[in-house]
Amino acid sequence: MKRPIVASLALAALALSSACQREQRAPEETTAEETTAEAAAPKVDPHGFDAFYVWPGVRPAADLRTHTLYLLDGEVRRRPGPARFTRLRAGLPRLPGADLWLVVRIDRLDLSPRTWATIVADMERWQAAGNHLQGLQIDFDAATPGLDRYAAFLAEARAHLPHPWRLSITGLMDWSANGDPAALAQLKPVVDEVVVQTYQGRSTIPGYGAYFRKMAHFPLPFRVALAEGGNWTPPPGLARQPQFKGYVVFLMPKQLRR
Amino acid sequence: MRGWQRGASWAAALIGASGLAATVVWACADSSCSPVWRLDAPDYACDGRAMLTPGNDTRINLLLLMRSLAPVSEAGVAYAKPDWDDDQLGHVFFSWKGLRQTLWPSAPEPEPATPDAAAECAAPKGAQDAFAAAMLAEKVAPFYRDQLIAERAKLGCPDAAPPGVYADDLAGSYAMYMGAADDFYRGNYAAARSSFAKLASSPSPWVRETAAYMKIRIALRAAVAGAIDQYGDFAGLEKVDKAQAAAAGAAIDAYLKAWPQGRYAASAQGLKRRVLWLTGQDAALAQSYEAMLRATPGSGEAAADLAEEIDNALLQREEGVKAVVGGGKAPLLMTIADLKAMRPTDPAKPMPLAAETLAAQAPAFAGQDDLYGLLGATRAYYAGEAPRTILTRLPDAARAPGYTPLAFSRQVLRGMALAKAHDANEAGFWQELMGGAKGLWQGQLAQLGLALRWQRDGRIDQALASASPIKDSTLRQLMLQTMAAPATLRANAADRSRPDEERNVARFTLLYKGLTRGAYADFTRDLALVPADPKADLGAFYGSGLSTPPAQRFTQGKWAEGLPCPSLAQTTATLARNPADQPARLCLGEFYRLNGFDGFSLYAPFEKVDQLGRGTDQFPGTMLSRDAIYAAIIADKRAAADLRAYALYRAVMCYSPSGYNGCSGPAADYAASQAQQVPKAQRKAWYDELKALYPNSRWAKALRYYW
Repeated sequence: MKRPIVASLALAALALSSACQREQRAPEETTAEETTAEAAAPKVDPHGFDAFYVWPGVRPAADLRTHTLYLLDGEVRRRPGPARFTRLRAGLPRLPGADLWLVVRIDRLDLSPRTWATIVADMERWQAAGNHLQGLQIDFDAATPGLDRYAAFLAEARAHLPHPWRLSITGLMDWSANGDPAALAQLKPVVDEVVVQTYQGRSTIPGYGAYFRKMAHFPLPFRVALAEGGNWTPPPGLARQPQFKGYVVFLMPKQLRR
Repeated sequence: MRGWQRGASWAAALIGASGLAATVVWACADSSCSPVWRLDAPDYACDGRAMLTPGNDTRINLLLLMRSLAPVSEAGVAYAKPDWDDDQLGHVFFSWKGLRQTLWPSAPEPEPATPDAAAECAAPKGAQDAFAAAMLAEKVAPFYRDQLIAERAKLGCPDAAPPGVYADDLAGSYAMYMGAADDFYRGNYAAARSSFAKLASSPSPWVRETAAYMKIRIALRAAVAGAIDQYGDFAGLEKVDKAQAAAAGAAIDAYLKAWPQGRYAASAQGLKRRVLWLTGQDAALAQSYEAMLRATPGSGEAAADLAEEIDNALLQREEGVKAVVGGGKAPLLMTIADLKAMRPTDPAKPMPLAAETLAAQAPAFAGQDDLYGLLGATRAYYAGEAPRTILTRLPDAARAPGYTPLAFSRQVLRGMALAKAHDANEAGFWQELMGGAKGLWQGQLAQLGLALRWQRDGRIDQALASASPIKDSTLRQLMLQTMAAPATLRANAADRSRPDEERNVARFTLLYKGLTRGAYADFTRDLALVPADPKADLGAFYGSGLSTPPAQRFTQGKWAEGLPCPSLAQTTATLARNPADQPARLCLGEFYRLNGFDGFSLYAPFEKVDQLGRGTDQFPGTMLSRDAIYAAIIADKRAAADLRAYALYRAVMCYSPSGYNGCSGPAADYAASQAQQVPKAQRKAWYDELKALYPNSRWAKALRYYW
């Protein structure tokens, strides 16, 4: 895959058409200066972090400090017929040394009680295998849903989740920065954390500085997900934000040359 | 019966899809694909071509080959709408994903789930129906049958109860089968194995046969049960329990001997390949795949599943490739492996596939001259041999009424050799080839060939003429943005036979280049080409992957903020009379700044290799960037105080807050972007001068830092 790294120097505020920016566009308040600086920012090296996304097939380097791991277990995908959960790992993870989150990727919200039961059964299996399971993360991978409908879905997720497991969700920057604060605050009793995604594909989305400026009063505890190898300079003030709980680095899969 | 449904699940079922992760999981976790706009593709790339070529994804080459063995009509097939990451490919190139979506579009959005639909914890409905049908055929008492069906429906789910106890032998046998199956799905392989063994003497023929088949499944599961790493991923073939895998092979033979036409015979045949894979019998696996390549019609989706399986199970492993090539008995697989072997390991080194290696394979290709000839010519082309030697291997067939992918590959390669030879007939060749290039993506490849030739000949105007045979909108948009002369852009903007989006690209490019390159009189006149569209979304982009914003950016933009600027049309009218008019130049800068043009660039091919879009730009002039406007006014010590103060203020602000110049326009690469930066001392000097010379101006008061 050819990704024009340098070209992002040239494509800033107006150039919204490349990469996954269809889904996450740079905010209009982004200055060209800002995007230029972001593109020249240092690249994310997983060795400086201790929380990671691990997708199937990815093996983290042995010398990483893996305090917290978000492991994708499976997905519920848009396809004909009723929603079904598809496991993406061949077997059970056994990572007793880490705090573990079971991640389920979904692109639809019509999960049946049986599907929820299957997901919870997987959580129980992971726990029984000696893992320190923290909870479930919903990785909703589709266009920003109506927050109302999504909130209802998350309340349903919460209801299916046995105590004391926690509920984490991924959030797009646009959604996190531009969502109605009152609606976001309503998620407080439901969602324990939001992990804000700053990348599409292998690259950091330009204009993240402007998003984080708008997140100054974000009502929920949040982590910031970075792409391994993506450009990143911490936006001013992020570290001091009371709800900011640290980073999660998305470990990139090896690119197959098929 | 769960699990083993069709080819796609072959590796996925076993290795938890980790081998497929690159396509299944990474919907948005891979970068978008920016193609190189040329015909040759020496190394692996995301932009697939409608020809057998070393750079194609191996799965694409496999499918093109299958669709050549048994030709498939592609008439009337519509191109799938691209995903975000395929957007730039247009209808010229395609990814594996895009190819699958075009040939076998997935069904539309599902209906809402019905309450009685089988849950994922339970067996698929087909398996439950088979279970019920068997009991009906074997006359299990209705009372027991209903109970067993109800239990079967929940089997495997968290809310399932253990099977009941049945006094009747026949019903009891079905119940025992369910218990054994439950053990199997829960991973209790020893218990399952012993229960299924007992069922070999069941009074039910269905249970006996199914139990024999399940012996295969248990052994296969047990073979990989220990091959799981700490992350729950498949740990690799070396961790497989070979004895269990061999036991699965024996169970397959036993099952097929007892039930040669059995209800699981097809599945058992398929599982043979899995055993071969797990036990490292790559030569036999290659033979099996070679036969399947011949037997599987390229028209069906099973062909795509097979391509994925072959790539995952065989061709991505060095030992697998060795078995294919070393065996010398699988010309189809050898073709694919050879193409992959032509990819450069190091640009400085010669073609990795030696001519002698290919020559030694000749016996394997007996009777397949077209295939072998293409391989030899492809090798020669990418090894840099003289084009004439390639032309003699690939006779001209440009007037054929249609082409299989293999036949088309031979002709495109011939065209590439003509190009390399600077043959006078090259353009005619491409135009002839277009006539029969009716397959998906074929015509556009021929159009690209012609466009490249005309670019080299400086005939972009001809390529973009209304009557041009280059009709593909992506190719035209590329040429419009990168190389078209003003008159060509005007003609395309006015051409009602072209799609609206393409006309917008022409219009936008005409105005953008006119404005930024100083053609102010033309620009002012050309504004009349912009249709009044009060609803135009100024933030949107239009075009096929090489999109531009709407031209209404120039008629509905924001003109003024800090300075009292008139409309852009008035500003450019002033500049047309006097290009050095300082207030007007500052207003031009304001237009850039307020409408997002600082960081904007038209599409330009990324890689600096010879490709479409890297010819000479026929649009005259060079870009005037915002920082240059300020620099000129700062340099003019006689400039009016308010103008000079504003220029100093803005020159400093160009570096706010990052310390990088945000007013310099696009940079082609890192070095160019570095050249656009002025030293920090200069920024300080501007700041100091603003504060010292114009202390009472609102700009001096507004500026509190420099960066």
